[in-house]
Parts: sequence; structure tokens; C-alpha cells
Amino acid sequence: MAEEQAQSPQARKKSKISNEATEQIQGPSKSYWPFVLAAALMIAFLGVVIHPILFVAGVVLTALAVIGWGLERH
Amino acid sequence: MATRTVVEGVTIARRKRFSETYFGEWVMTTDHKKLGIMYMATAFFFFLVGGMEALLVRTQLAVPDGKVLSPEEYNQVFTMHGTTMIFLFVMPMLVGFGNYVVPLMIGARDMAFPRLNAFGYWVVLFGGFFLSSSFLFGQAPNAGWFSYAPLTELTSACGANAVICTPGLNMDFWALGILMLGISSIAGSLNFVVTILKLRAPGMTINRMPLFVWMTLVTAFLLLFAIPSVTAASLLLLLDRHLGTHFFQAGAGGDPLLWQHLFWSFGHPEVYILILPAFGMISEILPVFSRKPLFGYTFVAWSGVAIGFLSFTVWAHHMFAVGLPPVAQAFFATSTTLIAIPTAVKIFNWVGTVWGGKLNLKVPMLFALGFVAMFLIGGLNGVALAVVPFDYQVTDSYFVVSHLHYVLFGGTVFGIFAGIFYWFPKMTGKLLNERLGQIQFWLMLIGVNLTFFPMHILGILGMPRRIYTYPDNLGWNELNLLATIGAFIIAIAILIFLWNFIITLRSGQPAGDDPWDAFTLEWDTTSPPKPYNFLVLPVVRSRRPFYDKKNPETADWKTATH
Repeated sequence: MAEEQAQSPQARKKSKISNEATEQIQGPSKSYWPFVLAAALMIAFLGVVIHPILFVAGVVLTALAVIGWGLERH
Repeated sequence: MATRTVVEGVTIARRKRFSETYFGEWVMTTDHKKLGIMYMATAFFFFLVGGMEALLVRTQLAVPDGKVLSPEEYNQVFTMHGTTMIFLFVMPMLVGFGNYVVPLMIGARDMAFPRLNAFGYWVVLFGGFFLSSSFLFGQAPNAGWFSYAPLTELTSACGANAVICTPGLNMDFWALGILMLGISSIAGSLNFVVTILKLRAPGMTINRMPLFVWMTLVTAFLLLFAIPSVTAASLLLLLDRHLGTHFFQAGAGGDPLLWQHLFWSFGHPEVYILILPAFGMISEILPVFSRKPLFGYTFVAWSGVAIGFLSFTVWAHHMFAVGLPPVAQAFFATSTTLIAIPTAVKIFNWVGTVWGGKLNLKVPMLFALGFVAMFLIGGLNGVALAVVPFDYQVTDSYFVVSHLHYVLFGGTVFGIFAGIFYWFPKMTGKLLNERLGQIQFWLMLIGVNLTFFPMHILGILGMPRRIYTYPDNLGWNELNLLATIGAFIIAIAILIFLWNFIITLRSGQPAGDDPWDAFTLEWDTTSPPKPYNFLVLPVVRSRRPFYDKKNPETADWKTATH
């Protein structure tokens, strides 16, 4: 108690946050970009066998998915 | 690695985000356990698809002069059976097990690259849809799972002698599908290598890793080195078909054997890619149900590595009949025989593990023992095929079909079911029904032998593989009918498994966290595990860390030197 009183309010706050952080476990964040990128690849591959427009759409989607994945805020 | 903080029990009164809905949880997940389950569910779906294709093939061949399918439909069905079973069932199923179990076994909280992991799964799913969509166009791949060029070219030879080979979209679907699935395999393999080498719990040295982890690591390296070969072959085939190159056309200066070399330098390591993780599962299950440590851990682990290396030296034993020079034949016959040695070492060690143990013949153990017996048959007739004069006689006959199915069905599929029954309680918290499991096992054992053993004799009698039908005067009738009956018995066994799966999910017996009194770390957490796997990362002091924790008086680290 005496030790706690001796700390400044800022130090107490910092110490509390630090204790909470050690109790939290970091896991991977969710993302829909892997799904979108894989779907875009399938569309591009289907385009190769079905129609060039589908292929172009797939390539554009693939590029967007790669960029979106790269820019996603973690 | 992108991270989020896992906090349980927080409820906030607001509209759910997409990522918080049931559907969104699965679509956006990067959790290795969910992805493992998704891999396995997808693989099992394609197992049913491939299984139905197998039943169509066997129904067509049940009696002479069969007319169940047209010749073109038959070509498509047997090609898609092989392609589906290898690329869309066995490989994703084993990756699914690896995804779920490996991080738990090594005491990690997830795979090294969770998003790459999710990407690998979605590519498999969409790659499967892509390949299967070929049926909608009536142009499924139709040249067998190894798609030999130049038969898979648009035309063969040039000028006035041009012969139309595979003019439709069939082979384009195959080549592009294989390219797509290869992307997934590379992504998954990289992830396994980095996860296993970098994320092991404190104290888990390489020589303390569970055998399933060992075999997954070897398999990942095999994939990294084998996939580029089939990728190159597929690209060259597409160039030949659509951009006028002649890589596989002898008349234009190409080499018709180039395809076979490229394909089999992937294809034979692929056989071990399909069996090594099953070796790992068996090496986990046999000790637990024999109440003994694995006999000869070091030999089992390093024989897996030896198999991995040797698997790249044996590919041309698939090509003895093409007219290889005698030196090449001698080399590949020798290397093929050599690879039997580390394989036999494993079988010896498994027998040594079971020998003198207190056997608990639960369903995982039955499937594990079935695996050893069936794989032994598949291995021995494989050694027979390494003998060049014998191979000349039976190459491309039903003898080869029998051999590969004893290895991949009697071996890998039995291993997969051993793994399902063993780890299902960890994944769901429930025990699959034991009695239904035993019925399934015995039906499968009978079905496998009834289906595939007669094929040895059919091959020796000269029945070629992939033949559409046969006349009734060749002495093949009864053996073919037996094989078809066996296939339907296997189908009944699979239906029983599905029933077992459904009733267990609905009202199965609770399993507890450690139903088998097991030895490895995946059992040292809840069933199913929390998103973070372990609240506190375990510290490992021997090869059986969970056994040590449960039995501090007789802990391995007190007596063993590893």
C-alpha cells in the first residue's frame, strides 16, 4: 500500500496497463483478403478457358486483392 | 504477423460486424484449428466425389461389355477419380491434420503465417471447384491423372501426319487446375517449414519433436522441391497447346519423354507426400494404444528423412517400358529397391512398438494396425515392380492399380481414419461411437482386400489399366465382379462413418481433454482447444512431455538422455 502510494498517478496507470497486457494473449487478426485473392485467382483461371473478359476481370481482382491485403490495417 | 488480442466474455450491445457472424467467422478466420477443420471438411467432400467416381468405374467394369458409361465419359470419370483423390482429398486432408495438430503438438499458438495459411485453404477450395466445373462443360480431364504428352497435345506430329489428340478444354482444365493447387501446396509447405523450425515450445529440440511433426516437415520439403517440376510441365503443355511451341513433339524437335521425366520427378515424391504424414500419425497412435514409447524413435524419424531424399532418385521406375538404357534401368531399379530399406525400418519399429505392449484395441488402433498390414502388401508388390523384367510384364496393367491402391487406400486412407478417430475428440470434445467405428473398420478391411487383391491376378492375366470394357472370354469376369462388390462394401463403410459422424456431433459421448491417456502436447489443453491453444506455453523436457506432466515420478526426462 505504501509502495502504491509512493507511485505517481501516471506511473500507477502505466503499471496497470502493463499488467493487463501481460494477461492478454496475442492471436492472428481476421482477414477476408485471402478469400478474395483465392476467388480472384479462380476467376482468372476460368477466364483462360472460357472467355478473355473473365480473365481480365480475374487479373484486375487479383491485383486489387493483393493491394488490399498489403494495405490492410492490422 | 498481424495480431489481435484474444479477450473472452466481452459482450457489447451493437450490431454484429460481418467478421462476428457465424459465416464471417469461418470466411475470415486465420485460426489454424478452424482452417484445419475446413481443410478436412473440404477434403472429405471431395473424397465422396472421388468415391462416387470410383463406384462408376467399378460398375462399368463389373461385367463384360459394360455400357454404364460411354467411352468418353469413362475416360473423364477415371481421370477425375485419380486427380480428385490425390489433389483434392489426400493432400488437403493431410494438410488439414497438420494445420490442426502441428501447432498444438509443438506448443505454438498458431502457424507462422496465419493469412498465408487461410489463402492456401481457399485456393484448394476454389481450385477444386475449378477442376470439377469442367464436368459442367462436358469437358473434364480425360487423359489419366498423369496426362501423358504428346497424347494431351491438341495435335501430335506435324504437317500431313498430324493426328488430333485432345482438342477440347479437358487438358486445359487439368493443367490450370494443377497450377492452382500447386500455389496452395507451396504456401502451405512454406508455412509448415517455418512454423516447425521457428515456433516450437521451449525445450522442444528437433530430437524431441513428435513423429507426426517430423513427417510433416519432411513432406513440406518434398512439396517445395517437387511441385516446381509439375508446374513447369503444365506450363510447357499449355504453351504447346495454345502458343505453338513443340516441347513434347518429336516431329518438331521436341522430346515426347520430357513430359514423363518432368511429371514423374514430381509424381514419385508425391507418393511419399501422400504417405509420410500417415506414417507420422501411425507413429503417434501405436505407442499410445500400446502404452509404450515408440520403439526406435531416431530410426523412425531419420528413415523418414532418408525416404524423402531417396524419393527424388526413383522416378524413372515408372518409365521402364519406354526403353531406357540398361544403365538407367539398373540405377532406377537399385534406387527403388533401396527406398524399401527405410520403409521397412519403419515397419520393424512399429512392430517393435506394439510387441509386448498392453494393447488397447480401440478404433484408432485398429485402423493403425490395418494400415501397417495393408501398407506392407502395397510395399512388397511395389518392390516387385522395381524388378525390370517383371515390370515389363505388368506395366500399365491392373497389377499396378492394385499396388497403388494398397499403398494409398490400404495405407493412407486407413491412416487418415486412424487420425480422425484419434483426434476427433480433441477437435470436438466428443468421442466417435466405438461400435460403429469397429463395424466401419472391418467392412473397410474386407472391402479393400476384396476390391484390390483380385487386381493383382487381373494384372498378371493381362488386363490393362484404364480399359473401357472387356469381352467375356478372357477369364477376367469373376475377378472384376469381386472387385466391384468390394468397392460397394467400402462405400457402405463410408456411409456408416458419415452416420457415426452426424450422431456424434448431435449427441456424442463427452470425451474430456485426454480420452486416450496420450503423451503429446495437443492433449495438454482443452477439447476443443481455446483460440490461443495454451494459456501458458509448455516447457518440454523429453519426447513425451504430457506423459511427464501426468507421471512426475516416472517422467521420461529423469531416465532418458534425449
